[in-house]
Amino acid sequence: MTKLLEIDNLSIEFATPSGPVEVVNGVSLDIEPGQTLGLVGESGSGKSVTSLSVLRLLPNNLARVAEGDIRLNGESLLGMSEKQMQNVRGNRISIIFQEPMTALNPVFKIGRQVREAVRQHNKMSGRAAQKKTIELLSEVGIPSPEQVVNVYPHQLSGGMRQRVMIAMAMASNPEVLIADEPTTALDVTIQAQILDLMRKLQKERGTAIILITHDLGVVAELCDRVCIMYAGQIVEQGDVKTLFKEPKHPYTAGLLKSMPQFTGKENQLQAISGQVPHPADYAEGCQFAGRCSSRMEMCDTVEPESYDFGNGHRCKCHLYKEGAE
Amino acid sequence: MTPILKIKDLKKHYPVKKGLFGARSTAKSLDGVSLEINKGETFAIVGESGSGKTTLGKTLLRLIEPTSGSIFFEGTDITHLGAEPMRQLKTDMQIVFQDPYGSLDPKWTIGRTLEEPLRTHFSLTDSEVAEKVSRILEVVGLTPRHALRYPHELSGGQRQRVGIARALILEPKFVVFDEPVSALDVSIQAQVLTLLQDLQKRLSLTYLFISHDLSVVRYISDRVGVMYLGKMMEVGPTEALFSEPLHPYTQALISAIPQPDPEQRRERIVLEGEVPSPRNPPSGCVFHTRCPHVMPQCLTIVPELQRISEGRYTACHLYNNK
Repeated sequence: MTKLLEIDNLSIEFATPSGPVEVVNGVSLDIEPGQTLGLVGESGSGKSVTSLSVLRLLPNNLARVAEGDIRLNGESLLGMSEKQMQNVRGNRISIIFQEPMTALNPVFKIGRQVREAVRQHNKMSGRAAQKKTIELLSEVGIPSPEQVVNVYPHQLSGGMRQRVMIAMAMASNPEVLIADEPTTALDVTIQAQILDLMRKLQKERGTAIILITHDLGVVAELCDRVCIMYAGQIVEQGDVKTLFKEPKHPYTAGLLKSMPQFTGKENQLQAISGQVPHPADYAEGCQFAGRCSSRMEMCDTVEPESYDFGNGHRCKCHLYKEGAE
Repeated sequence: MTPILKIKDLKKHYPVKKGLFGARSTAKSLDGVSLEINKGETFAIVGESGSGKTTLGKTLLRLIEPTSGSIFFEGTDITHLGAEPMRQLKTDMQIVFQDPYGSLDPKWTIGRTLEEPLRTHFSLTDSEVAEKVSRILEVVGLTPRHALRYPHELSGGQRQRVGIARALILEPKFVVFDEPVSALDVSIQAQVLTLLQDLQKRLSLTYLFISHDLSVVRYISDRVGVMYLGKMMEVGPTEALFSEPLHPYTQALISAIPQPDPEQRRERIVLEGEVPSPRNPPSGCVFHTRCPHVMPQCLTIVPELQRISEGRYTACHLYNNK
């Protein structure tokens, strides 16, 4: 299969008063056309930084790609000029954010904002753009789009605003859609509607989706493959079914056990003790060692390698080193 | 079992005006809610934004004054209690808010935040206060050293532990938790949930647990009330309610939860539309605009909460004459 988007051994550093701090470390992942990849992790695990770096949206003066490459259809995004990059953003790779209220401009009407996205990438007359805008809004399930183009963002509910964001992101039919916690701020019944919409659009247009979330339930519903991030690294990745059934990494297993399952009380929640370390305090060995229940001596000093279990299921943990118990 | 808290036909209506000279109307945040909470149980309230669940929690403690209806705490009517007796009652009734950062004073050390309720309610010596503060910090899984820290030095989970400690330091009998884990990461959420369970057992507390997360509610509660637009749609024991929901709204809510099991992707009941505004609630049954089983009488007649079987109540016309 062709790799649509490929992140290869990516490391990102942030400048801080006390010197550079590495927030993303050796992340490699890839996505094929029409696939949905889940990027899961807790706050501070580096999942948003990874996705922003794909669009080169990280602040230039603060963040620096220390190592690695990002390729779209084999072409390096890091080597592109700013002008070429603008042609990629919104056109070939789009992004939607968690907070649809802050992502929309409060002083412009919805129609104007969607039209701007439409005309940015396709030369067309104002009237044609207006027509396209209404089409897009109705495609994302907004009732009476002719009226919605004339309202301001604050007049819409959270779910409707997220639909508008999706309409803008899909305006130029991107190859990759990055969705950064798209349903976190929404109620469950609205979340179900938005997930359905994303699934429908993907089916119709064959867009590849990178779904960033902390909700394993959403991942299980929507994704084909999952990457579990912890402290700036991908600790485990694989096919969604295998990974949920046979999690290899103690962190993945812990996450699954600490989620209240909707089957009721029979299984006691098992919390992972401690908390995600701050990037400045990243350890020398395995980042998870301090919270891990199967910690061994070498975990504190030696960084684990990535072990392959076939079918793209990889896990970064000393438990699978030859000779370890 | 004796109810520790009982509310009857509680209403909270806010006056709203459309435009400067517009017509006056009322937004019904709580519209005739009745319920009883038994000693030692965890009663959960679930609902989407705008369902009135937070208003209910705050009205119970009279942080918001009800428009009508009555609240009984341990048999006493507290609806019209004066400021001083109400203040004294706060040693028995406490609340923990969702946003642990917004509810802690950034300029106060944790120790000072925790001392405050003790100093307003009791006259204790400094050493007694200090001892109680260190004890409660240990109870919630922090160390006495945390008393010297400021809120910004703590993580979200630790701050929520401080919020819990502040509520528990007065040794209350009844605690309202308003979305206590919604702002936390899963692994931290599990830590706080197990802490709450443990504290309930050790200190024999009664909880009102407000949440929009049904998985969390199913895990922690004994009984559940489902709210929609200021009304109670269904009340029942947790397991019965989740395994066999009666009200179409409860059924849709449960079906909307993403399951953490990729083998079980199933057809969901996806509700059309959104929660209507409480300023202009639908006539008859407030859920009729989104209900898949809507019948003619739903548009005009408000369904009453009726008893279906032991402990189970629902407000839906589907169950009339049964």
